[in-house]
Amino acid sequence: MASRRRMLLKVIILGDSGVGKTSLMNQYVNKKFSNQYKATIGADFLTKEVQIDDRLFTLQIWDTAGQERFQSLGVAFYRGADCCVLVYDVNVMKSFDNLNNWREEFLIQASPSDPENFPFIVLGNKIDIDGGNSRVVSQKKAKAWCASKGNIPYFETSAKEGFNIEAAFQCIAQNALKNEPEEDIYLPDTIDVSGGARPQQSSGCEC
Amino acid sequence: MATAGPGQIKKAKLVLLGDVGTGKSSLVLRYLKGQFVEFQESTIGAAFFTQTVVINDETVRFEIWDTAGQERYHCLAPMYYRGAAAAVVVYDITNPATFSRAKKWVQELETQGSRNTIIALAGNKADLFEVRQVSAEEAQTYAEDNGLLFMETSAKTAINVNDIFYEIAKRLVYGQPVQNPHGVLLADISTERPSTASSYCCS
Amino acid sequence: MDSDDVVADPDPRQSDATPGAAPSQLAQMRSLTLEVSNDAAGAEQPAGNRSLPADFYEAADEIEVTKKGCPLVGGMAGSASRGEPEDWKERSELDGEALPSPSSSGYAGERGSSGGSNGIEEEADDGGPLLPDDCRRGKRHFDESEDLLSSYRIVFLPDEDDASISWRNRKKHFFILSHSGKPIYSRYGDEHKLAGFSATLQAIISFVENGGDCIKFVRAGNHQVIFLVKGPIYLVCISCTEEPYEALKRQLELIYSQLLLILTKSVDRCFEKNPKFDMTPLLSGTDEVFSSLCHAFSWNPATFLHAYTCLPLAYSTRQAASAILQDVADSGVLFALLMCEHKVVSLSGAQKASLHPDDMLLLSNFVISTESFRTSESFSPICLPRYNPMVFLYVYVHFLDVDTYLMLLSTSSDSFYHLKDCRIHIETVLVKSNVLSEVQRSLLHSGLHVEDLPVDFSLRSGSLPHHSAMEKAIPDISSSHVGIGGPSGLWHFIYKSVNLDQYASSEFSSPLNSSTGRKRLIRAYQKLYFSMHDTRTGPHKTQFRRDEDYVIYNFHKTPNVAVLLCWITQDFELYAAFDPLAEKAIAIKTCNRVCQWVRDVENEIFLFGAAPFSW
Repeated sequence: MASRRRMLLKVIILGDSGVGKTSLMNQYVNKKFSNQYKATIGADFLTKEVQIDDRLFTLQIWDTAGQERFQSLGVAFYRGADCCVLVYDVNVMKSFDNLNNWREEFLIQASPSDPENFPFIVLGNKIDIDGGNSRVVSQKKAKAWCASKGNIPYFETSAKEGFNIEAAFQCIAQNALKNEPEEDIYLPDTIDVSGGARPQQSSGCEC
Repeated sequence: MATAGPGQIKKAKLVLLGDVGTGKSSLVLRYLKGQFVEFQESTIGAAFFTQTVVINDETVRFEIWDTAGQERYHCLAPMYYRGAAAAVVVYDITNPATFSRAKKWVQELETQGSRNTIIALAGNKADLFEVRQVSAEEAQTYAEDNGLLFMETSAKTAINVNDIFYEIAKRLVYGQPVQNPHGVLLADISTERPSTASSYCCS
Repeated sequence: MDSDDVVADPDPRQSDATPGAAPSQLAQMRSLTLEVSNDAAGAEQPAGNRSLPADFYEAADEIEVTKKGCPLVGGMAGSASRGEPEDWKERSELDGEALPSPSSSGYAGERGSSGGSNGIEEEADDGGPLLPDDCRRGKRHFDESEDLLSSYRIVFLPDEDDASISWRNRKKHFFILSHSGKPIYSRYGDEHKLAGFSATLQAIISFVENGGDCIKFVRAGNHQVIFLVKGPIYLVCISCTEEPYEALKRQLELIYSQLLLILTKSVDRCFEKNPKFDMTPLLSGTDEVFSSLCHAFSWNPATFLHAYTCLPLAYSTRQAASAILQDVADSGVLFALLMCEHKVVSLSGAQKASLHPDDMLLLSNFVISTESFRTSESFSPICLPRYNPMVFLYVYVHFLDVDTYLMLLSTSSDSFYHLKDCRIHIETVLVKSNVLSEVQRSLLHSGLHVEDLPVDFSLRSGSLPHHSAMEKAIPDISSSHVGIGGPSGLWHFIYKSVNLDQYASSEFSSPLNSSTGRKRLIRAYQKLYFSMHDTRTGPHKTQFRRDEDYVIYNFHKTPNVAVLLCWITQDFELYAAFDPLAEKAIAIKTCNRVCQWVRDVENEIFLFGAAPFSW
């Protein structure tokens, strides 16, 4: 009965199809996993528990399909997201260019209360393809874009080297912690007819 | 607390506050019955008990509210601590998050509760000192800074359990000691504790 | 019952859906809004039209338990047939047919608690009122089992984090999740570990909503999946118990109401303020309450009858209790209830206040399954969803003995001392008038026993026979079976008084006194109830049928198919179970005799004179 409450974070993974989102998630969640539902429902779902210091986090990972036919599901899928991971393939310029579109569309559909500070992470994938020779997006370019969008943390990774994914998700968890609301938002009503109490209203007062 | 002449029973509402799992119910069970249960069930709402303690010629009857620690009760807690003569704020010495929570309770009591409430800070599960994560010094300092009674207790081994209630009873009867460099002076119970002012729209 | 029109239930949030998007998608999604036909025989609809993509069913099946004999590594664990015995035969051990032995032995080891019987059936199967120990077993037991299975996890853990084979093989799951897909509650398993699964459920609901429709029900193999959307809170039931859709939906409604009892509907505002809101911590410490309610679905007819039941008591005894409770109600207490387990001793309410039986069910469930209420006297905020779902009231709870408890409800948070004084007053009166000792006696000895059904009504006494008396039991008329049931092969009955909102149920005796027997009988009554009350096929008056699904064993261990009779009038409803060889004409006569008997002893088995409870 510890009070180290586990925090559940809803994490959306976005990016062009083919950038390797699924194998990355595969590797991170460390389960044998194949595209089960993406074709039919537009996303695959994973659970991963991480511990940072003495806090436990459960990451509810939504690995979404890129296809247009699922675009209208964005509002429902992105609802209540705690953070968003944008993935591109360093060997495919278009996938990097599209990051902007993915980010904007996410912000429109999810409409977070504080869009400027919504936690994003960018992952540059497949850095080891062809020994790095077919790489077309430089780290510098990627980091510059990230900086321009509110200092989005940037990580590079490949299917072989899993370690940076761990770091990326640790970073997500830590950022999400900063967004943890301080005051209670659960303010129930009572019919209180006693003299001493005041009616409990959700007038924004902090109890 | 009802004022009564010497020799009469003073009734005192006492509320236990603190995070889930800190051992509030265990402290009560130990204090009232001298018992301890390893896996105590979660309290729902609040359980009510009475216990009488005699200090010299004075008798204090505690009316004890053992409140639930779950966060859904947080906004309803005022109904339990309203008008309390004393509050025991409990944390678990092996769990720093519960100590932070305890500090918030103290703050809430100081701003929203009655000014005369005697607040005791109980660092429970003292028997687990080997895996302690909150130092006694830190808690002691915090308690002194805020004028709180402080003891580390163990419902399991009974350390300091009777003592903390007894000490509260003493203060109810004889008044709060006021710290000053020249030693401890007994003061009138109606002495106001310096309040940390902040504006809240709830009264 | 909701309209059968598949395109009905327009989504109030239609503005979010892209209008006219992918019409072919829309057409596909229409077929998802299947509702099970309410045909009493439970015939299944084919799950949709042929235009669904070929992989759709694979997807649907992947969500629930899977095909027989699939290897585990692909994530498909277990077999559908293991989820539910096809022929309802009682089993003494797990059917391990589809899986290699390690998991079945590990699984049996996990089960441990139910005395080794009933293998993979639902938890705490004894079909009777649930004691705190049983409640605890529900969920914590499962967590313990995770450790036992840990060595198997490495081999068998499927790609989803959803747990073990044992989780997949539960017969009936309940889930609560938020509209963002975050898990709130799961009957079995750790909610957080089921986060991925929870997301899947939200995605299904959203997908259908996006098409302008509202998903209610999906059938996949042996499983039914029922969806219920309550604002930002989604409830899902996955069941292979073959209960009718309406029954499962009602169970979800009760679970939702139980949640409201604990939190009120103001919890919706939390989601409005913050869509990221994680509601799970708000339900902390209430596992037993929900698991006890889920268990109640299998033994407590109050969960579908919309009625409560009383502890049989001499009229004067109950009157004494009622009088004192009425005094208390007149003094400003909103409702006063004196109960013994799940049965009412007496209750009263302030003028014009009405208490719905569902609220009573949920309130008593809440109190009985919360151990801390037994320690002394408690004062807790609670909400009565049918009374007012938006606000908290306050309940004073005190257990007068191990089984008997008093609940006093008030609208004032300052009322504790007044309620305490009321309790002292009540207790004094109850002790003086011997009510408490009578209650204890009744618990042990009283009740309606089918063997006591009078043959000759000229001899009727107007009171229930005491079973400690030395009267000889009336000889069994149907001689073909030894010692089964009462006259004319009557095994069991439930009589509901429509005007009083109360029901009386006969005691369970052989061959029905096994937990499985009782559970199956209640399920059979439930099916009958919903079939009778199906507004689409029109209100029925009587049904007399053999229930092929309801099989129990007699002393000689040969299967019997029970015969059920249901009779509904404006004033009462009667549900009765008969020996399979019962003749219809005799059964009907017996039912008449039951009704007469109930009327004769009504002063003992029902509560009269309480303030009218109407809503």
